[in-house]
Amino acid sequence: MKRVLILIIMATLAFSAAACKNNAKGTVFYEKNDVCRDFNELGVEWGVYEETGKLSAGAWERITAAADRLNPRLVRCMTNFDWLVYDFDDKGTADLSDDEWKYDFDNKYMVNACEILDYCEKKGISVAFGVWNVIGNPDPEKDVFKMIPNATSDIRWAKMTADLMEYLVRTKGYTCIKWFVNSNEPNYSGAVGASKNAYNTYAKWEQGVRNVRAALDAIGLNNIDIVGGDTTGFIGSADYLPKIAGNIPDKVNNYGVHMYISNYDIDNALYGQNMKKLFDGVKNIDPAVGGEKPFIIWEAGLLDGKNVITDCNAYIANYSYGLRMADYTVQSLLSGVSGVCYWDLDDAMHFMYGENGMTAKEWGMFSTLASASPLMQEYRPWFHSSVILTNLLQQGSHIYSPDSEKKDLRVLASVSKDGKNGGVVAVNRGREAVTETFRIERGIESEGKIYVYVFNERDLKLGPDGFVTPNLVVEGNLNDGLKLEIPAGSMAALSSRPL
Amino acid sequence: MKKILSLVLCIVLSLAAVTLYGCKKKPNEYTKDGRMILKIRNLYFNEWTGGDAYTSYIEDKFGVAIEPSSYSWADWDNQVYGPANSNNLSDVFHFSLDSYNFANSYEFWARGGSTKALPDDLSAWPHIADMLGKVSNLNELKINGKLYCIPLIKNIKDADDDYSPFTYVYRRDWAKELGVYQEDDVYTWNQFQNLLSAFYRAKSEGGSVAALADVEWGFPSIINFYKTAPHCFAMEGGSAVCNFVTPQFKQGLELAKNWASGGTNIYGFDQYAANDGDVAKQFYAGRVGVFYENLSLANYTTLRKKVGERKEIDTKEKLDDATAIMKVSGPDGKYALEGGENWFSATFFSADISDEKLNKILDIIDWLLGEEGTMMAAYGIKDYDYTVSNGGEVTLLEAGWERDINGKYIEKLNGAKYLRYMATLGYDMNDYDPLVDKEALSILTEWKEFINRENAQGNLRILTEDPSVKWLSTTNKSQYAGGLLENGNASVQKYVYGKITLGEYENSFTTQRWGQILGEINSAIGK
Repeated sequence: MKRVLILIIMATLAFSAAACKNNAKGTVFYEKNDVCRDFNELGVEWGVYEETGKLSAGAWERITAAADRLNPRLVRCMTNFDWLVYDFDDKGTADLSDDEWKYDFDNKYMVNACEILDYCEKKGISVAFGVWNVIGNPDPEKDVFKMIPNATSDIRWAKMTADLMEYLVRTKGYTCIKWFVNSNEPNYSGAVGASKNAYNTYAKWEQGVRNVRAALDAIGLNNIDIVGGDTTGFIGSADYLPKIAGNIPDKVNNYGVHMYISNYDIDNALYGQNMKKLFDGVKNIDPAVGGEKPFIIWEAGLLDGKNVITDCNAYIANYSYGLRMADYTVQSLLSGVSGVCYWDLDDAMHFMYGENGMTAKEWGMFSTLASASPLMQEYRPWFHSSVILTNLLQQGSHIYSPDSEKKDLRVLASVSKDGKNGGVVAVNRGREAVTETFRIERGIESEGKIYVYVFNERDLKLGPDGFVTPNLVVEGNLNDGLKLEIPAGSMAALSSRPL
Repeated sequence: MKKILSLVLCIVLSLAAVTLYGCKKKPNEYTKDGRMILKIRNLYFNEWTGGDAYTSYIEDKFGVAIEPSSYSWADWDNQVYGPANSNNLSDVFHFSLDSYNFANSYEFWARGGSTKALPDDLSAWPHIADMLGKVSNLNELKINGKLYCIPLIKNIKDADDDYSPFTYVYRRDWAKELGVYQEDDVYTWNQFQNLLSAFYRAKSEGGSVAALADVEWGFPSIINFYKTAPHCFAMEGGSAVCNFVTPQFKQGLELAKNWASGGTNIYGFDQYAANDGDVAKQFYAGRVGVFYENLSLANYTTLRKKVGERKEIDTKEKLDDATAIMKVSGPDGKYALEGGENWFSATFFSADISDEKLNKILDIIDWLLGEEGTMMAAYGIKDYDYTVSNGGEVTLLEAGWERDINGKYIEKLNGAKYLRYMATLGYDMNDYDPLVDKEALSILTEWKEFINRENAQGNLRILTEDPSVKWLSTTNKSQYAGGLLENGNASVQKYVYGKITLGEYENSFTTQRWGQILGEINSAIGK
C-alpha cells in the first residue's frame, strides 16, 4: 500500500456493494449500452524486420517475451515485393500478362516473416498480412517494373499477391492469416518521384482489390479476406471507406484505417466524436460494419512528437503517451471501432532511408537494436499500459459504454462472451483525483476478486519479471460495484482476473 | 498552352494568355461537407503531413480542407518545373526564386499564363500588404505593375537584414590549446592566418584534419575578403564587368590556390570532389578547425547538436568552445559578408485557381501573419497549449508542452507553423518559439550585434549586386546567366585545384556569351 493513491476501503466497498445493488450510484454499465458485441481485440503492428543484422543478442527472446506478455489478438505484418521478387523479365513487350519473375522465399525477409507468423500461428493470433507498396523504384528512370503508374490495379500485383499468399497459406500452412492488406495507406499519395503511391487513385485501388479477390478465389483461397481501406487520417478515410462500402462491400471483410491523432483532439475527446462520425457514415452504407465486418484501426498512434523526416516519435518515452493511448483506445471503442492495432512493437523493425543513410523508426514499445542505449531497450511506459488493455479487453467481448458521461473521465466496461470475465477501464484526464463507483449490470461469473491496476508515473507496479502486476487485489464483484479513487492523469483498470 | 518552349513565343502569346485567362480556371473542388479543397505544396512541408489539430482549427475557421505536399531539397527545381511544364501545378506552389532563374521561371510563368497575379488592392489583407512593403527589391518582381508571387520574407519584424550569416565557425578550444586564441573571437587577417597555420601544424599531420574547410557551395570562401561582388557581375567605373577576372577576385583566387593545392594544405580536404554535406560531417566529427558555413539558426542549431553528440563534448562550455563563431577581418581590415535579399524563395499561385480560391488562401496567409495566427504558429491553441496574462505574459501549459527525457520541449505537429511558410521563414518567432535553441540563438545574436556595430563604424563590406543588374532581364542574360554562374564557379574550382592554367581560367570568361551578356547589361544601364 506504498503510495496509496487508490483508496479502496474495504468497509466502504462492502457498504457500497450492498447499497448499489438496486439503486446504483456512480457509473453503471447497463447491458443496453452494448456498443460492440463482437470486439476483435487489441493488437500491435509487428512488421517484418528490415535489418535483422542490427538486432542485439537475444533480441528474439526479448521480442517474444514482450509479445507473450502483451498477448495481442491482432497483428498487422507487412512485407515488400521488392524484397522477394527477382529475375524480372517483361519479354520486351508491353503486354503485362506475359511478364515473368521469380521469388526468393528463402531470404532474410521471408525467414523473419515466417518467424513472426510461426509465433502468431502458435498463439492463435489473427494476422492481417500485407504488402507495403507496389514493386519498383519511384524514380521513373530507375524503375524496371513500371507498376507505379497503375498502382495496385496493375494485373501483376494480383498475381504476385496470389503467389505470396499461396506460399504462406498453402505451402507454409499459416491459418493465422485472416486478411490481406492491399497496400499501405493508399490515400497518402506523396510526391511524384519520391512515393510509390504518387499516381494512385481510389479507382485504381478498388480495381486492385477486385483483381486480388479474383486471384485469391481462383486458387481457392476464399477464406483470405481483404482489408478495406488501410487508409490514413479522417479525410482520406472519409473518402475511401464510403466508396468501398458502396462499391465493393462483397470484396472486403474488414474496414481498416490508420489514425495518428493530435494530443489536443485526444485530450478534448474530439477524436472520439470524429471517429463516431466516420464509423456511422460507413455503417449507414454497409450495416454489417462493426458486426460481421469489423472496423479496425490497423495503425494507431499519436501525431504530436512525430518527426516526419525520421518517422520517430519523441513522446513514446513519456508516461503521457501511454495515458493518451489508453484514452485513444477508450474513445475508439466507444465510437464503435471493433479493434485497435498499436503502432508499433519494436523500434528495430522499420527504417527510414535518406540521404544520410538509414535510421530506425523509433516508435516502438521498446527497442531490440544493438545500437540502442540501455534506456531505449527498456520497455517503455506505453508498453505496460498496452499490456493492461490488451489483456483486459478480450476478443469476442461485449463493450459497454457508461450510463452517463463525466468530464475528464473516459470509461468503458467489457464482459467476455462467456460471461466469465469482465473489467472496467477508467482514464482520468483531469487535474484532480476522481472518486467513482463502477458497476457492470451483466452478470460476471468471477471468483470474487477484483484486480486493480493503476497506470501513472508514480503508481505503475512492475513485478520481478519487469512486467506489470496489480497494485491491489480486493474481494468483490464488479456486478456489485466498486468505489475507487483514480489519481489525476491516470488510467485505472479493474479486472475479474489477473491480467 | 503551358508547354511553351521558347521565352520569345511565350512573350508573344502573353496577351492571348491574359485574354484566355478566364477560360482556363478549374472549378473549385469541395469536400462532401462543403469545404473548399486547397492543394498546397511547399518545400518546408517535408516536415509536416497535415491532419493535426492545429490544421483542423484553421480548416474549420476558413471552411477549407488542406492537402499539403512537399518537395525534396535535392530535386526542388525539377519538382516544380515538371508540374509547371505538364499543366499540373498545385493550387499553391513554392519555388527557389532567385535572380539567376528569374526569367525562365517567374517571368516565363507569369507571361505564359501559368501563374496568377496577386490582386492590385491588398487592403483586405493588411498583414500581407504590410509584409510585402518590407520585401527588398519588390518592384523588380513586378510585371506590368503586377506581382505574381509572395516572397518568403525572412524576418517580418526585422526586415532590414541586408547581409547573410555565411561565416566561420571554429574550434576555439583548439585555438586556446595552441595559444592562438584571440579575445572575443575577433581575428585580424594575420591572426587568422596564424591560427590556420597553427591548426595545420598541430592537427593536420597525416591529412585527417583540415585547418580550414568550406561548405561545398561556398568554396573557396577566402576570396570573399578580396572580391567586390558576390556572383557574376561586378561594377567598375559604372560598367558591369565579369567578377571572376577582376584583379581583386584573382588576388583571392591565387591565395585559395595556394591554400588548397599550392603546398600549404590549409584547405586539407579535396573540396573539388566533395559532395553536399561532406564537409559539415567532417566538422561534426572533429576533423575541421575552421568551417565556413551558412550559419542560419537552423544550421547552427544542427551543427551544435551534432558536435554535442561527441563523447568528449560533455559540458556546455566545451560545446561553446567547439562551435564558436569567428569574427575575421580581411587584408583591408574590414569584415566581408555576402549581401542578399531579405527573403528566400517565393510562393506562387496556379493561374488555374479561381479568384475565390486565391482570396481564401490570402485570407489564411493574412491570418497567419497576424497576432492570432502567429501565436498559434508559435505556441498552439490558446488555453490548451498556452495562456496569456492580462499583462500579455505567455505561460506554456503542461498538456500542450511536455518535455522529453532530456528536458527539452517536444515538438508537436503544428500546421499553423508550416502553413506560415507560405509567406515567411518565421525568424520573427525565434525569440519566443519554445522549440528554438536559445543558446544557439544567443550566440548568433551576439555575433550579429558585433557585425552591426562594425557596420555602423564602416568596417563591414557587404558584397551585393546592383539590383538594376541583378534583376535585369535581357535576351541572353535571362537565358544563360544561371549557366554562367555555374560554369564560373566550376572554373574557379578547377583552377584552385590545378586542373586548368590561369590562361585557361581567364579564357573561360572571355567567351562570346560573356561578351553578349555584359554588352546587354551595359546597354541597359546606359554604358
